[in-house]
Amino acid sequence: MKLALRLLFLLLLSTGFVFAQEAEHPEEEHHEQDSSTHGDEAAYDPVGTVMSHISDANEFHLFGHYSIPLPVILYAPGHGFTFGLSNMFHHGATAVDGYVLNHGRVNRVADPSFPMGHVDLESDHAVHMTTHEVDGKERDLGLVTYQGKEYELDQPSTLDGGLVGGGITSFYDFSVTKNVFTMFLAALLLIFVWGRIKRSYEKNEGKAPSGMQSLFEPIFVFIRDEVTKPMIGEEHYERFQPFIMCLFFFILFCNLFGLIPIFPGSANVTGNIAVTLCLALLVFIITNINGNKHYWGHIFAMPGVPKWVLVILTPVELLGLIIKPFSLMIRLFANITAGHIIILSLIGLTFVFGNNGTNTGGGITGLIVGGAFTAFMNLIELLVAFLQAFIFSILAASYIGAAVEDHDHHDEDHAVDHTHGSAYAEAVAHH
Amino acid sequence: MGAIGAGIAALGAGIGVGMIGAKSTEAIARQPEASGDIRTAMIITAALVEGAALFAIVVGLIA
Amino acid sequence: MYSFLLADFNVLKPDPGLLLWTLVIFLLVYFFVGRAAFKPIQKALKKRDEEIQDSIDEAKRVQAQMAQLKDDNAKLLAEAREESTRIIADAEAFARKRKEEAVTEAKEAAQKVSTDAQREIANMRDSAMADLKKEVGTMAIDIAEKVLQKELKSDANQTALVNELVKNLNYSSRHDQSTSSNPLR
Repeated sequence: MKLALRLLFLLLLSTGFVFAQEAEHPEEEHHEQDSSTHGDEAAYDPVGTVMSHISDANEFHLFGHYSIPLPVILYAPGHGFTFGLSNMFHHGATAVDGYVLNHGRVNRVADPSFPMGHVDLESDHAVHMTTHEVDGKERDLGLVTYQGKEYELDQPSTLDGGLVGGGITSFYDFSVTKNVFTMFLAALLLIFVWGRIKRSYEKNEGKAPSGMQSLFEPIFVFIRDEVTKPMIGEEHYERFQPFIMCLFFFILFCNLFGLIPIFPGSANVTGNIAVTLCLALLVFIITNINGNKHYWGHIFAMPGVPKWVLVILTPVELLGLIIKPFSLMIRLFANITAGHIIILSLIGLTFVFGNNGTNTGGGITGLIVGGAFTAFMNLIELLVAFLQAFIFSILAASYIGAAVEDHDHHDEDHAVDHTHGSAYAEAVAHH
Repeated sequence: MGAIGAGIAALGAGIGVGMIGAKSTEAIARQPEASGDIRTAMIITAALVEGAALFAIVVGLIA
Repeated sequence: MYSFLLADFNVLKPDPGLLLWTLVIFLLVYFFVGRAAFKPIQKALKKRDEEIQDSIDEAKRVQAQMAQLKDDNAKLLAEAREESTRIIADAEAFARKRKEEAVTEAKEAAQKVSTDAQREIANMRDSAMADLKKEVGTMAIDIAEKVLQKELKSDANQTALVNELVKNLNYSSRHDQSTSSNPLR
């Protein structure tokens, strides 16, 4: 019975590939033809779809042509602030103060000759994408057609300094985007849930926990006993526990919201580097402002090491100061983004196999295979959501623990120190 | 090229995580009373290995 | 197959707006959850842990106390039993001693009484003897006197008188014999 099921599955898989093989060639041609027009009716572009699903947006897309407008706060040096709701752009059909909506994201016309105020672009496809060469690499370029003239679009400013294709442009986007909205939801949920739990602790003082309290208490106690206490140490942990707990629960709730495929979720919050950068930055700041004499002593002059080695070791230690939060940032970002990309790609199989709606059999096969794998991946993602929140908080705790640890008998038994939890994690984290 | 790089990174990380799993299972079998500590160390190390692989994948995506 | 366009991968580009909002929201979470809820919960949990530990300690202490008390009780009971046994033994010994003493005393007293009585008797006999001797002497003198007086008058009368006197004497000596336990011959 099981064998038959397996064979059936294999058959389905192989037919899918057959359909896919069949489908690929015309798709490719089609794609090349339409590569410059990413309009709604263009061919299915898997990479573009996945990327647009994981990126932030200025409106909350629900289904079809319905989306929830979100507040827009834009700032352009020399022009000032522009406020409003994202529905004022009419999904790209209207320009406001030179700002247009390009695939859910606000872009700006850099050209000062473009008229200010509300401008009807007279077409739903006035905003379109093209590619251009920058330093031998192909880059996307947004264009808006207005009264027969094409204007280049600027993307919002980013802080990567051009390292990954962004950089400071002509405007900054401080809007309440999809990610910010979801973060607010997660924060409000946290405040609501923990507020209730706190009240029940006050009400049930000296009694056994009940209701929501008994659901969250084991998690709380787990984080206390497995993360903060062993990593930071018995005497300092109480000071940092609220911060570590906040990190854990904030990341966990954002991760879980990211796994919900429909409205309140669907935002790739912790899979956006700005979010993880902010959290890692907070860990970096808290670690270093609490660093004691021994911590800094270890960085600038590792005790028991010859002078000439320090010339090499000190820069490495200084670099480690940055690398530790940097790895925190990248780990969380990459795990969550990778998970989302995989799930979206598996769902995308339906459309790839279905060949834009022309191959129904392929589409159904893709749906079954992709759906099965998506269900599996979703479970893995659920594990990852908890695991990454745990890893982030345990590593943050170990960095803080290394900074506040008391080394009273340091020079005598350096080896013994390394049996200590935080010292161990620190040693591992140096990788 | 990026995909090949990401593949190689995943290969390395796979070997690494596999070794962590094997060794920690052995360790737990040898000393079941220390299983809690071993599990924590295992998860941390696995996360670090995975972090290295994800670094490579991100670099692979950019390049 | 598909050209991967870097501009699309904008999750890798940190947006200052999102960064700022994350900071704001995280601080919100920190102050409204971390400070307002986690800290009191942490305290409540710690307090409860301590309470539980205290109750366990207390229970152990009470248990130890109970065991101690039980031991003490047993010891006390044993002591009391021992004491009572001792008291009974003492009392018995005392009683026996008292009895013996009483018996000895009684014997002594009896002895004393009998000796006293014997001495009294001896004394009485002596005095009786002395009295008798005195009486006999007086009587002899009386008889002698009467004899002498009678002799002076007649012989016949004299003989009758002597007979009568002798008869009297016999009577009175027989009378004396019945009144004293140790009559003289």
